[in-house]
Amino acid sequence: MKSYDVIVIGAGHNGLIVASKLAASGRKVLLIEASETYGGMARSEVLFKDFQVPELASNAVGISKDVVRDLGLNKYDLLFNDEGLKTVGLSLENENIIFGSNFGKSIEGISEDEFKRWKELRKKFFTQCNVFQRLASQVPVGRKHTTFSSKANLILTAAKLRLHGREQFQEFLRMITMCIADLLEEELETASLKGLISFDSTLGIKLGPRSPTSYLGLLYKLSQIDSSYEGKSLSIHGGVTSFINALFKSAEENGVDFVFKGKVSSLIISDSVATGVKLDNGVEYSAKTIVSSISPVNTFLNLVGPKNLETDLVRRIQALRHSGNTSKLNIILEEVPKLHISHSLDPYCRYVYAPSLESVESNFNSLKYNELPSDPNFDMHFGKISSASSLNGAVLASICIQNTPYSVKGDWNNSKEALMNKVISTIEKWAPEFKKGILFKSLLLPHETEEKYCVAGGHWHHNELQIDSLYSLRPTFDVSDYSTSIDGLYICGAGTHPGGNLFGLSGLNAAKKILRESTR
Amino acid sequence: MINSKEQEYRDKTFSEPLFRSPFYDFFASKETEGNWYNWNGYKSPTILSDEELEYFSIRSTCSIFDVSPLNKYRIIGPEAEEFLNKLTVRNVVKQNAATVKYTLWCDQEGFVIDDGTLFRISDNDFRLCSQEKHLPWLIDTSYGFDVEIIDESKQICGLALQGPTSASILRLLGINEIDNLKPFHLFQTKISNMPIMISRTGFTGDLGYEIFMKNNVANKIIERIWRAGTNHGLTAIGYNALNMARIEAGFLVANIDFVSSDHAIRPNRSRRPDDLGLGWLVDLDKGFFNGKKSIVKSRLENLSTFKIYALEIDGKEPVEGSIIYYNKKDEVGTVTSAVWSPMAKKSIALAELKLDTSTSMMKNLWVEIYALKELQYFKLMKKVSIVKPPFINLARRSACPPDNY
Repeated sequence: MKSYDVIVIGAGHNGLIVASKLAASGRKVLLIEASETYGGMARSEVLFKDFQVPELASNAVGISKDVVRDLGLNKYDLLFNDEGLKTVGLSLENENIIFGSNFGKSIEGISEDEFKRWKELRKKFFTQCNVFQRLASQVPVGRKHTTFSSKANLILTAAKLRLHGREQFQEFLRMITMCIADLLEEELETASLKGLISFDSTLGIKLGPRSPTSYLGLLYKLSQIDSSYEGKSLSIHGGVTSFINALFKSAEENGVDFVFKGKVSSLIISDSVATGVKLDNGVEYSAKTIVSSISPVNTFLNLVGPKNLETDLVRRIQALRHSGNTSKLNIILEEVPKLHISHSLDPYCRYVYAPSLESVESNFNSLKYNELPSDPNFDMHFGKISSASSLNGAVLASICIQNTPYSVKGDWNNSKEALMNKVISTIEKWAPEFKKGILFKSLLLPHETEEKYCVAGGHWHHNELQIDSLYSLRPTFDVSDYSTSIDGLYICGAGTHPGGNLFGLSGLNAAKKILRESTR
Repeated sequence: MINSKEQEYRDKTFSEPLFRSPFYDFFASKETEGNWYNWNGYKSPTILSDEELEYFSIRSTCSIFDVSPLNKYRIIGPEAEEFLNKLTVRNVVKQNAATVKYTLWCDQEGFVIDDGTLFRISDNDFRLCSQEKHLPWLIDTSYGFDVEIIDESKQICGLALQGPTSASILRLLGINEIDNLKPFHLFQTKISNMPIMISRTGFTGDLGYEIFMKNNVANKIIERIWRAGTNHGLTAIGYNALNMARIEAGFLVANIDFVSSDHAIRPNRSRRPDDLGLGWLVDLDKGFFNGKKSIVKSRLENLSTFKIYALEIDGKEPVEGSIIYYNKKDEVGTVTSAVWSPMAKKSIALAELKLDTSTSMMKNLWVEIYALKELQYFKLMKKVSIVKPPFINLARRSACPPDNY
């Protein structure tokens, strides 16, 4: 049996970060990945002919500056949206609104008064999102983790909020558990602006704009924008791949060993101490420290197994809400489609179809009852296909469909095509030629994501990113400090604090904790 | 339209909010006091005719008590043993088939959820009897094990036959296997072709047996036993008599002597096995089980505060619910169960005390008793001494074969 200091399970971005960071400390690290390549849900897949892109995580998100700095990723070629990414809110009745980068620093297509009100509101949002930023880079204070510095950090966070003044503080307390719909309706008039913001607040989580605490979803997103590297999001043209490649190179340079196509079937545990892993081809590796970057549900229920866990913990893990609610539609087109007013869609913009708050809410209603939304909301951006490819000139329309149920009434066989067609016919309202140019299309539903990417439920965030599963409640209060009840086993995936997209802090925090705690 | 059967059922829910065990009619025919209580949703007798006579039947002849309200869970499957090893603190691997063990189960803090008796009917077939209801806990614990859990509380009923003449009565019924039945062992047999399971167990600290059977044979079986017991002083008893006997035997009752962690609301009310004086049940060598880490930690860090002790108290005054003092001054705990023991001829009690183990402290304990004598309270301070339970030790309890009284 080959022996290592550390075994990391899953080569997603968090797994790569942990592996690289721990290897940099001189530990002998093995990274085991079930698929053929690294990247996890952000890995590249061959979609069509020789065309390879991240099938899932192509979203325009930022990455944590801490991660970039800590691992020295800026020496690799990270691609960002240098000009900033504009979001176009598609609207049929009115003019499309164009939402400037940095979450609407400027907006075109709304009245001056409306923009003034928006500016005020935006300022409030950004002030409040500060809370998350400060807390995101620390191990949550919890039952097991109560160091002086972490407690001090908690107090400082509250103090900093209070320093904005009594009124602001009260405003924070008023808003924090509110639904985004009420906040928007208090201040704004433009339907498509409200639609766009409610879409962004609830994308990827199982809440509608009228669900209490849906404002938190927005705060979370803004905090990531605010503390992302250079304040920019990863380029929609290969940015995600550049980030994943950089992480891989960093891990490789630090001396991490890799095993691909190695699906871990179980951990070797005796009397609550983990001593190694067993792959489903029978190969075993041993290590004193094992870090699982896969979902908490998979980690605990499949790898550790309920036989090694307290009934209380099994109950809590089983109760995690982890069914995915977003599907991904990839369409390869001959060229960037033209709008009916004859000029083409700007391939450097992100498009959101969420014409109103009511539309987002009614989409969510369908999700609740396992039905397809009648008029699905989605966001879309175009990725250019490199000229080296035989598909010269072709583009990829990368579409996230919000509120796709994990299991649908009836079955998916008929519904899958129906969902695709609904989205395509919506796009055709602006780009009548859209359908003609389709070379290839594929829709990845939550349960297919589950299968293909080995994530229980196929959830982006591994489990819901909501008020009851944040900070020291993520994934549950007794394993929120990255360590677990199994000695030697740590978790570091998106299901841990702070989680969220490609941010990478879960991995970095876990790695720091392991460096502090475990000897080689 | 409501059919007549349903109508009947509905009417009963209101007129008889409490369940009636299959033996209800039998015990109701023996009672003169009208003294019933709610035991786990069943209408159960507190006293049938005379508390003292009922108690003395346990100690001098034979008593018959209805244990049907106990929760009975059947645990069957190839991984039943492994499952029970995760659930309970004892090592089930060491429990042979056809034996019974007293056991505990804990939550992740190592706090006791409940105690109960585990019957190993065969290798992969167990019955767990407990005071409280635990089906959700059992099912959730069984996740990942190849095991089936059946709540047979309403299908299986039971009788406790306790007292010196109990063996003789069973012999009269033709059950001669009891000659070889050691304490905490069980076997399956038949009375007039009706299958029953007999175990040499009980809650009295005396020679005695528990008999489990299906509801449909309940009436015939109790009839036979009652007839066989005519010349052996067989007496139907209620809970009060049993309670006296169990205190003498030093047995604990969940939610009387300790608060089950399921019920505890206040943070310092839950207890670990060590606190109940039952640390000897915990097998730390058997691998992982619920609560293990916390139990180990509590031992290392000496986290235990309150512990259950057996006490003997000077005088005859009842001490139930009284407060115990150190040096007549500092409160150290409360009496949870107490009785005047007719066997030990002493006032005895179980109490939950917070003591440091220094002998000087243990030798200077007092109980404050408010004795009501003809409408006037007398405040008494009585000397308390800590003893090792049980308060009585009867040779006949473990004699094998049991004597023919």
